[in-house]
Amino acid sequence: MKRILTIVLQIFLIAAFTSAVQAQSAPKEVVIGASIPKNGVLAAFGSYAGWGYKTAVAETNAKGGVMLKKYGKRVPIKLVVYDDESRPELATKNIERLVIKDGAHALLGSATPPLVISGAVVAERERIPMVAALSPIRAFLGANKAGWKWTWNMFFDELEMTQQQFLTLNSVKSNKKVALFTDNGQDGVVMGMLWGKNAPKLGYEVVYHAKFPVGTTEYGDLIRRAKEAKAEIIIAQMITPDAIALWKQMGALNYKPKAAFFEKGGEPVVWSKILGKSAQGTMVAGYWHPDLGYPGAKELRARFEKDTGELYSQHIADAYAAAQVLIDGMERAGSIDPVAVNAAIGKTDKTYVVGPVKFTEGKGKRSAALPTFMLQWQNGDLEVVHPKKWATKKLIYPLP
Amino acid sequence: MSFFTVSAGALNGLMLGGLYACMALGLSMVFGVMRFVNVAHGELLVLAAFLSFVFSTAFGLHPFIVMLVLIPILFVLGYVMQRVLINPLMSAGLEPSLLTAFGLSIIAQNLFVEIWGGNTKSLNNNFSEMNVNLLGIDVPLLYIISFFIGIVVTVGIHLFITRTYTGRAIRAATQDAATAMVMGINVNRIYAITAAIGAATAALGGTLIGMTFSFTPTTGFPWLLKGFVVVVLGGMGNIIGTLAGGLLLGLSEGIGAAFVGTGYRDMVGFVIFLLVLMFRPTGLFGLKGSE
Repeated sequence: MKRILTIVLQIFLIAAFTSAVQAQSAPKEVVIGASIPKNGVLAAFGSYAGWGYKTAVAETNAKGGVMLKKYGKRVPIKLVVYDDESRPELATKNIERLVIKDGAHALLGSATPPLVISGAVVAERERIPMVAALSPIRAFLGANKAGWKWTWNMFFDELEMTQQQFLTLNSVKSNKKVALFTDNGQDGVVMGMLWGKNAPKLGYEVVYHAKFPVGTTEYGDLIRRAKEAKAEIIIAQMITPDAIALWKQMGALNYKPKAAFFEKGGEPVVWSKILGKSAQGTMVAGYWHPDLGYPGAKELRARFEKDTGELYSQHIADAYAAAQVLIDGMERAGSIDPVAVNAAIGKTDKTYVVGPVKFTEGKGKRSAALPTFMLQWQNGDLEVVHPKKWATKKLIYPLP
Repeated sequence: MSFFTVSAGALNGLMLGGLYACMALGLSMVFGVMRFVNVAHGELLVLAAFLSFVFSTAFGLHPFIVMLVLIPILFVLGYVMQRVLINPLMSAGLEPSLLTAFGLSIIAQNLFVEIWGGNTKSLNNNFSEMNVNLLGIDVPLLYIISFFIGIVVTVGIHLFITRTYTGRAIRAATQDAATAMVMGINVNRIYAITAAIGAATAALGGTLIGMTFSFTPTTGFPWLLKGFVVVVLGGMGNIIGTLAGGLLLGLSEGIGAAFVGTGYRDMVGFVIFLLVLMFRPTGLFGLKGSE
């Protein structure tokens, strides 16, 4: 009897000691870091990304935090966000600070390729998993020919996106002459090249291609040349302030194309707010709309508009989903071990609010391509106009 | 590339030069009189743009009307800033006042973000998509308006400097501040008035920038750089020279863009800036102590 009691006591002590050790190892909080542009020319994108990240983390914390099986408990998430002011060098510094000073266990990406890639370089060096959205796939993959190992990206694929403009216009009449306006950012360079390739395959002709640095304010000369080339279709890839300047100057110089696509620059709601009526009918490729039927999409839009009083942007969805992908990765790994979390993210295969996410693209399969369609500004709201199966409104053509 | 393209670039650039002159006048005056490089001038332009945005949105006023309202507001702000923050440092050399202006610039940018957010803004107006056909060339109406505003303001300030007592006092302080003080001129007050005039011209420049282009809290710095180029081209402290510098910069950018592409437009301006600094450091129209 005494022997049995001794054995039971020993088992009890071992169990108590083990759980005490485990409880001591569980982190007080899981730190997720992000550097986003709250200021500068990309601030519009940063505001959507920040809201998406914050909302996803708050929802997880409302349940007690992220479930880590290794510790047998939920651990709250601390989201630390720094402003990179739309500057790549600051994005790099911020990520370094997040990892070294704040002890970030995982990271979320910034907005647009220069900022995402600058942060990703640090994530790779520090071997901390990062999930990014808001960076086109080819621009992201092209920045690391050896293949990313710790950074995951979910956004549209330019190969598909740069066909949408031509496919959208196949149902209407034009002279099929296209003028391209692309800046020298990574996505501008990649998309400019792809439009040049795709246009002739789809029956269009690029009659003029203007290339210019980011931050250009005066486009008169370029506009005159596009006008001389008699392009009825404008496709632009530039940041919002530059796109606004270009469109205003086109109006001032009496250049009225029949269709205008403003990729990246024409998407945030400030485009419509600042341009007012002249934004009517301008188009931008999209990858998310609240009416597409993805789980929680309508509710996400409603929540954003209630929180901010602003019209939604599709970027709230991929940012929100990126944070969820990261948190789900941690839960699958059951710990905050970077190697385990990184491997678990790679196994993502689920439909989120932004659509199906599975990392299959590029070397190392670190990118997930979101399907694209065409959006058009109509009466201050973005409507899906192509393909017809997803269209929420009819295409306005030509531009009013 | 045709003669028409070059001519169109030149004409549009020349008109845009009026905006450059408006934007740089304040910088030129402050440097000319006080030998003080106001690195916060870019933020004055942005402040003017933001205030224009607030007033025109809140009261439904056209930005040109708001611009007139902003002139006295920025005049007072410039006066107070100079009197309270910069004047006490003027006797301590160039560095303290320069660092103070730099600090003000950083504070201002952060305040703009806090108050108005980081998003791009622009001043909605019915002129931004209008044009005038001059000699067969379409020129944006706002460029033409900026051109005439630049001329009017430059001539106005020139007349003020040359025909009024305060203007003569400013010239005296420019030439020799110590002697001016001995002659009974309150040099500190003159410096404050000069800074106030400079800030008031920023009301014009900032509003025109907001109407013609767009702006964010950090837009000030690129415009400050362009302002330096204009001031150096025209001759530091030379008011008429600043107008000439602005027009010359606009013209050379317009012609340069036609030849080498819009991507190198700004580079053309900076190359000319460097050449002028190398061969004529006082500027094309600058004489030490003039105006």
